[in-house]
Amino acid sequence: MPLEISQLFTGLQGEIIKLVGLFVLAIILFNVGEQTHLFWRRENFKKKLRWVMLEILIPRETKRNPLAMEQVLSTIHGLRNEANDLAEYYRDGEVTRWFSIEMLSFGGEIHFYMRLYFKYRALVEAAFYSFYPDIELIEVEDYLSRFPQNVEDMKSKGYELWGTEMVLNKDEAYPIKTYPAFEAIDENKEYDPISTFLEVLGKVKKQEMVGIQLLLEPKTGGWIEEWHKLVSTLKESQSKREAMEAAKATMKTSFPGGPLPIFETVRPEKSELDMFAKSLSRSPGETDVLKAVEVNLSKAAFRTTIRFIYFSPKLMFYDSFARRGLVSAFNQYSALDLNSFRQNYKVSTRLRFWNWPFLFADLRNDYRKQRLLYHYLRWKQPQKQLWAKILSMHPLNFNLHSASTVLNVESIATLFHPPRFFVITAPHIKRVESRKAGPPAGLAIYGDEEKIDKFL
Amino acid sequence: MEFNKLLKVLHTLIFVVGILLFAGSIYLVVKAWPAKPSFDPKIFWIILNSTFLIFFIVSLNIARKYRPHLTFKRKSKRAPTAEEMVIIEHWRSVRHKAFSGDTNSMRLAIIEADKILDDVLRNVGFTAETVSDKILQILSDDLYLIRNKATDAHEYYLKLESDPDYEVDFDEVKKAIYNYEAVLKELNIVDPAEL
Repeated sequence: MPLEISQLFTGLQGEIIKLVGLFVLAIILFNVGEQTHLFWRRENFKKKLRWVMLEILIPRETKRNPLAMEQVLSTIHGLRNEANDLAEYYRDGEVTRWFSIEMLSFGGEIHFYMRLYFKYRALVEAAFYSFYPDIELIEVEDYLSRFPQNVEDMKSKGYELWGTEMVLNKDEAYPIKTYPAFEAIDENKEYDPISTFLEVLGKVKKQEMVGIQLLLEPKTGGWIEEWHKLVSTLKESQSKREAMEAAKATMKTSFPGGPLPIFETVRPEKSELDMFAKSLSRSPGETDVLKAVEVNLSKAAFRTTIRFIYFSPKLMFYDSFARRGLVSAFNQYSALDLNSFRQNYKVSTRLRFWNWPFLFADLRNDYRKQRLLYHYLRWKQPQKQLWAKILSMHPLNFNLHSASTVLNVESIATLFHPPRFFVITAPHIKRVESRKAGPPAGLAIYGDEEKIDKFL
Repeated sequence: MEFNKLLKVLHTLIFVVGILLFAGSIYLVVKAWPAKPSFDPKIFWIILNSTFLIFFIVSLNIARKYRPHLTFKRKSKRAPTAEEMVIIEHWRSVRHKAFSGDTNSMRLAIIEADKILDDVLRNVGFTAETVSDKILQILSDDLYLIRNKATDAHEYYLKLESDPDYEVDFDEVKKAIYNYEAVLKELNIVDPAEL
């Protein structure tokens, strides 16, 4: 008797199938409903955040090395918040507040900015002043009002943009090349990787603008635990793993003396003994990688999004400047055995007709630009949950590939720190005009006790 | 960290309760078979599903407002700015001179057209001193049209300028003027259809 689909739904079997269907539907609807609710509450939470925009004025001479910046970031990491009960999670939609460090170049004039949740201002200032006494953080007007607000606006002003996001090539557990690699006891052999950025940003022509955004969100939850498995595989040496696999392979296939396996007592040859001895120790390279990974995991980490955008009048637009020049500045941090940066090609605004699905390439490229600009102007972190990504899709721009990476404080301090004193080739940076110093001790103060408070 | 664990426990609990309810409803159906059970468990599941569905639709309706608004109009036509109006007026007079038939006017038209090109390129952001150098600053390959047209037009201007006795030919002047106009059109300053 041929099986018909309608027959499936009759009798006891049919009743059970219907119940299973309803149960599966209930699970799907529950999850989707919960995720949608969370998306709404979280976006609402983000929308209500009040921000303050600070300009970081670099002193004329900074003797501190990036370790100071690392300490500042560690302090800031301690300010992290997290949803800690059901009300905060479901009702408030609390997410970890992030902040952004921005390197801007307006026609070759370089500015450093920092964008914070307004209540963190005093604490972040304290962190900065304790490690960089000469630095100044002043509240300024948001430069984003000078940017075109959407692609249409940009085109009518005769501008063109190119932008992308940077991600890591390998797992986040592998660190990039960090500042100790650029340092030496001899001053002539010291380099500051930020000088490349300053040079590239300084070369920007008068009508152009370049912005680099580092969005930093303190990582909550286990950062070491996540990579526990990787560390344990790294602890085993490569040659031991190979030897084990080879041993397994011989065990399975060798049947000496007929179809029945006979246990032979063969004395291992000398080469096998060598292999065994080798398997006990890791090679120097493996040890170095393991060490670097463990050091990387031992420090506080931030969920980081690196995004940059380059505006230029259409006539002067030369996307290789940004596409190659700025990206190559990130190549300094690459270490072959560890990690390196690459462009997130699915986000960068260079879409050609051969990119899948081969339709409306120009239009889709425009929407990529629009998405990037939209995210830049609102300093948005990429969505974490898949359903939140689906909810923020556009028919012409799915944006499933926008991603952030996790970098620890050491890596971030390498990416951004006040340029050191030997970077004198950057005359275009906005700097502090004079050095600050406290009043002489024992200076006579005239006035009542209450007035003294003002001067403290 | 503690809260995350709690959340996981909560989700597992909800799932376990769901499984138990599901097992119970199957038990009800199987036990009463072939008769109908006194309470049909399908009704319970349908009510549960509709509650979830309503919750989902209501949330979706609100969440819709928080989606990023990316839609923009493409190729919108804009009104020319005051600066561009001046250039358009100037360009009209240049065209008038170029097509007047008088050799001196034609020579003057080319010189004025080159002046306009110089101003326009400077406004756009090319800072070199001469027009030739400004053209050399156009690097983008997407702008080869502007580069080629401007080069051709400017070459003719240089011929006229360097040699006062150079005989002005109407066809060549026309070609040069059209080249200048093509550059202005590419820069969205002058629309030849509206002249």
